[in-house]
Amino acid sequence: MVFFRMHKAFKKLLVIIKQSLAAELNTQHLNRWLKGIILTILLIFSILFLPGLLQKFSLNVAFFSQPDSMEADSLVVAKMKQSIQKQITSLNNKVNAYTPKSYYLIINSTRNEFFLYKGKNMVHHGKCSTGSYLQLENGENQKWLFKTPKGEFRIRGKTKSPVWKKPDWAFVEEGLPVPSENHSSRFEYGVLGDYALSLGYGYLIHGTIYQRFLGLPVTHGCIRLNDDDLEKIYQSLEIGSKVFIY
Amino acid sequence: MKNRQSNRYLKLVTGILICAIMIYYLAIIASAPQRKLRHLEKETLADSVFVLQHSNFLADSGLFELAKTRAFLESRLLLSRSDSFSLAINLNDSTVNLSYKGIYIQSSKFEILEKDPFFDALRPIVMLKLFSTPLAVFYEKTSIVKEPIVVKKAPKDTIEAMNSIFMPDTLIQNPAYLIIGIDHDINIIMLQEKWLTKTEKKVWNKYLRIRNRLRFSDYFKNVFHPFKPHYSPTIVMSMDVNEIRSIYRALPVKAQVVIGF
Repeated sequence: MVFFRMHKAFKKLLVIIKQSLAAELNTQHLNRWLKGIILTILLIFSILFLPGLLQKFSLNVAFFSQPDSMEADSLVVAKMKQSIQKQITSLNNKVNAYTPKSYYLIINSTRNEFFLYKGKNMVHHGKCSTGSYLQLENGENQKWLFKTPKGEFRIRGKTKSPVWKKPDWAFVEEGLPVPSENHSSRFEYGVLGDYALSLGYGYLIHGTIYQRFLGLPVTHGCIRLNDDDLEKIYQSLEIGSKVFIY
Repeated sequence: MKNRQSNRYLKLVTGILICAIMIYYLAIIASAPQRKLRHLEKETLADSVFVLQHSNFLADSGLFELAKTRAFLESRLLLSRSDSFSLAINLNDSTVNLSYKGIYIQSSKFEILEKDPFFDALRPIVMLKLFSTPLAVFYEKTSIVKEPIVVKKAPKDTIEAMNSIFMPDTLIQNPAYLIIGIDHDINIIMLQEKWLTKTEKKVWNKYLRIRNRLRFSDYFKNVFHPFKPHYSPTIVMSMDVNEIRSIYRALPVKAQVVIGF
């Protein structure tokens, strides 16, 4: 039934096309069509493109019609220049005062790179690994988002030969039952490298046994470095040193 | 006979009406930049204290250059009071700087692809006023995912865990454009340098569609609200794709931008 209706409609459409083609053969009709098409194109051009062109033209006219600058006594100008120079120096000092004089670390979590600075000078840089943005869901109630936080942090603690106390998510992720708070299976030795620097809230800068993943977002929120970079940073940053993560 | 004459009148009236509408449409849109220039000038001159303090700087081009540097530093200092990431765009040395409490965290070089003639048409005193304070971002349009979150269900046992090991995905780095709308309807657009692959061309077309939409929205705002000029002067810059991503992911929702000109 549907096919029959479609066939009928198609036949009707063919008749209309045939009729309109026959009408087009008439030169008067053809002229009208041409006029219509040209007018439509002109209308579309005037609506879409002409305003932009006119705007640019009007701005160029405005640029050339700007009045000349005022004239002033050269002595006054020289004095003013001196005064502004002084203000600029003072402002520069104020702006520069925000930059820490000692070592600080900048971490780019998009590129997974770190930059160690002392004052305005970059002294070391390399690859690191930051949060994977993986959201682990265990039923309705338990959710963990493995993301490295952004902003300004300070080094809150420094540890040699750190031991990793595995949190609950580490067991959930491996499909293992979560043990009690101080169960021996929670403690892993050597996986965090030789040093760890704490940023607070459970986030660490530490080493890794997965060095092939450096430069990629694979961590649970911590910042992983290779052994040499970690040592350099451990030695350079003091407790209280600033770490900027973006 | 009468019918033919009335038809002719109808055609004439319709033609005149269409012409009048078109003239109004073109005039109101074409005059928008000029009206905006005048509007900003009026706003600046209304601040008599500012004019008094700064009008002398127009006496000498060297003095004006110094005044520009001072304005940029002053606005950077104001920016340092905010405790979130912000942008400092210096058009003189072509750098976009991601700033946090006054410290430059990332500095990226850019190349200007398009600078609206509107900026050259601004009077120097208006420019000083316009860019001597941080400008607030009021919208962003981008192809970049702010937080590329991947959801994973916890495995039931160790065998399922072994089968669902998460492999780091480096392919989520889609082509990047970033359109930032700041105060005074200024648009800052950051584009990646090359658009060669099929995916890149697809994103490029989307970018063009958004730009056209923004342009036409300005046109129609002018038509329907003729008393306020709607014009969005735009600066388009091309820079490293990863740096655009880093900037966008670092910026908070209501970020601030300072422009050194």
